[in-house]
Amino acid sequence: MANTSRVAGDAEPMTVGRSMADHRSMARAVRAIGPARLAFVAGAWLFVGCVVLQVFLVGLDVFVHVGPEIHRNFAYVYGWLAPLLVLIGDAARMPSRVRTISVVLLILFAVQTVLPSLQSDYPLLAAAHTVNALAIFALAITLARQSTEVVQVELAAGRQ
Amino acid sequence: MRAGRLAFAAAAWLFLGGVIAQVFLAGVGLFKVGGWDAHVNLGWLLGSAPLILLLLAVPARFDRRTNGLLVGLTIATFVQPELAAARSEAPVLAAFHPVNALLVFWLAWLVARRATEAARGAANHASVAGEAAAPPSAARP
Repeated sequence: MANTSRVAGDAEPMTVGRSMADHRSMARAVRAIGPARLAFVAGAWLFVGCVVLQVFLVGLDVFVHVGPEIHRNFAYVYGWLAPLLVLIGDAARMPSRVRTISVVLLILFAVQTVLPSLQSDYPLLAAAHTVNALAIFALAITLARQSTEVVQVELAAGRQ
Repeated sequence: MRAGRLAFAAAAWLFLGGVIAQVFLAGVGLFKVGGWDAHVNLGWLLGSAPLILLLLAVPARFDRRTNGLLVGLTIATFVQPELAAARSEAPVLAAFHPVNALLVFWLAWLVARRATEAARGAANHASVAGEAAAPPSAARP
């Protein structure tokens, strides 16, 4: 009922005119944000998804005994996203706190790839591989949420 | 209410610390620094901890969102040892054990942060109410 509300004298339901205007203002707002920022948000959420999948692959190794190679190789499949987010964040002129998080995420990811190789010399440091994974997950999700908020605020401002 | 919220926030941060320690103990087992006993034993201890958080949440009187997150945390924590126990009957399901650990960690982090904010809010509210109730001479010596 609310979707077809009319005011007196209107020939068309109000929602038709409104939705077209909404689409136009939305398109304007999206253009104003720019592809770099949208790519950053998409990349940040993709990174979160890859981290979750990566942790599932550990589970497959431990409980299904598929071997650690799939977990190791997948890190090289999505690892390029971390430096890419730093570069896109710079190009998109994201707020400094978002860019800082992306740099820290890159550092933690680099550390993460080194930690397992310390197993023979520093086994306790190697064991911190799992805790560092938690830190990467927390940072990745914070980055994704904060960058989404930045775009949402701009989207709302662009539509006004 | 303020004391209740402070107690809850302290317990929530303690639980988060326990989750991080538990993940480290998983690393100890995975990298063969030690056995899995410590991870298993702490897991059973952490599994019942959300019940204490639920009890502490009653006097703290949080908003619906925080209570919802706490219920989600309780369910995810209860499910966690069951996932590991399913290794022989349903190993693929058991493989979600570390993924669910991420969920437990994230929910514990959110609950601890929101509880701390609520405790701070209650403290500010109490100090504002105290200033409003105090006579002007007491406020300005």
